[in-house]
Amino acid sequence: MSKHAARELLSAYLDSELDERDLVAVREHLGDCSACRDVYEGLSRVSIGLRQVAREPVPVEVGVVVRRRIGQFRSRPGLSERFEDFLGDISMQTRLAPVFALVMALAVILYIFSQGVARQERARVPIIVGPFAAPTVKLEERSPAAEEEAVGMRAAESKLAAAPERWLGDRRFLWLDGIWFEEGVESSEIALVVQFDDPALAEGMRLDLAQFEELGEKVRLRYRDQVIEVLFDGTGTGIGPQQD
Amino acid sequence: LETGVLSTTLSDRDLVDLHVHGDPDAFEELFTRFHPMVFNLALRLTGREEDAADLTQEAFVKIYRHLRSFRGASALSTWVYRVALNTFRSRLRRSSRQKKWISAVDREDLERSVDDRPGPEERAMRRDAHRQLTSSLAELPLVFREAVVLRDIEGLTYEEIAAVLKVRIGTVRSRIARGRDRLRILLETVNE
Repeated sequence: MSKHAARELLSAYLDSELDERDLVAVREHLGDCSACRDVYEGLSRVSIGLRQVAREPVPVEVGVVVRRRIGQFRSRPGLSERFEDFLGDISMQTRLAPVFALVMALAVILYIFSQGVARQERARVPIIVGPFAAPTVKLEERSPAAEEEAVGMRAAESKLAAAPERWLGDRRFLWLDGIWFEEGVESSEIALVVQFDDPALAEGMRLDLAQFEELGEKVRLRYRDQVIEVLFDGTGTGIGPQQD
Repeated sequence: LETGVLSTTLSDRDLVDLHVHGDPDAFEELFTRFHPMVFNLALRLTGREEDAADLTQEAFVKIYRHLRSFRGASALSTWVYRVALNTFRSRLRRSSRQKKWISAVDREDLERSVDDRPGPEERAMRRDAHRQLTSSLAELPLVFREAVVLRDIEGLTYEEIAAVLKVRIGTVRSRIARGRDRLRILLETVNE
């Protein structure tokens, strides 16, 4: 053993929590080293002193409160109780924190990935993007994917070319798959779907939207800074292209 | 509630099973068995009876709610200790009174206990020594305090403490040693 025994060994010796080899070594060292013996006796005084600390009687109100709270819990075991308990249980939160962080990180990655895919999709097959002219592509350089893309573009282009159109002021609308699309609006951008007759709609918005009512039942348009879908729900005076 | 029959015939595990199957007396008996242990653990960790009472109440409500999740991998007492300690740690983290809890009995109180030290009378001296010890205990960093309390006051083995704290036995050994050594130095300084 080195010059002096480590506190950890002396403390574990006190508790008989050493293996046989360390136990013998510490015992022999204590016989030779008065400094370590002093430390050991000090540790021993602490340990013995703590063991003699008497158990205190429990205040009666502890039992009363526990029984009352458990009684309440029995009568109304609900989600709110569990949630309240969860919020109070920091240790559980601590345990769940890495999982939560992982889930959030995955969600962010998936979101970024999906945005990237969406951008690619939009770039590849725009639903409605003026002026609806197909890009010039040299046929000899097309890969199978490019060919497929070009076919999709041509289909979209011809669909757009055939789509009925309406103008409201300087805003152009195209009738596709049962919906009026404002030119330049893409499905993936929809931020809000509103029911025109929804009483919760702000009065100002209702007035703004009223100008599109004549288009008919469903319109996707750019409204202020967002793309919204408005459901006129047949209350509009407008008509679809079938009746146009 | 009358729990005399339960208390003499059933193991902790039996009581948990009864509780899970809806016997209200089972939890009453578990409370009777374990609440002195939890209260005294809380008392030595917080240093204040009022805080210990609050903690005990909170811990037992949690025990009641989560007892169904006890799988019996460890002794029920180990699990109860763990819930109580977690409750204490949770409170410590969110309490604005954290400083008070960490140093539950302040320096002034400690000094007073030394100044008021009685003379030769054995019982009074012992009482005073205990007061110094428990006061000094409140000065220890939490990780050392938990380990020392579980070992020296609650009498758990290193293995049991490792199970309660979910740490390795080597860590338990180190924490106990460092906690005791700090107490030893603190008491020697105070008594000089």
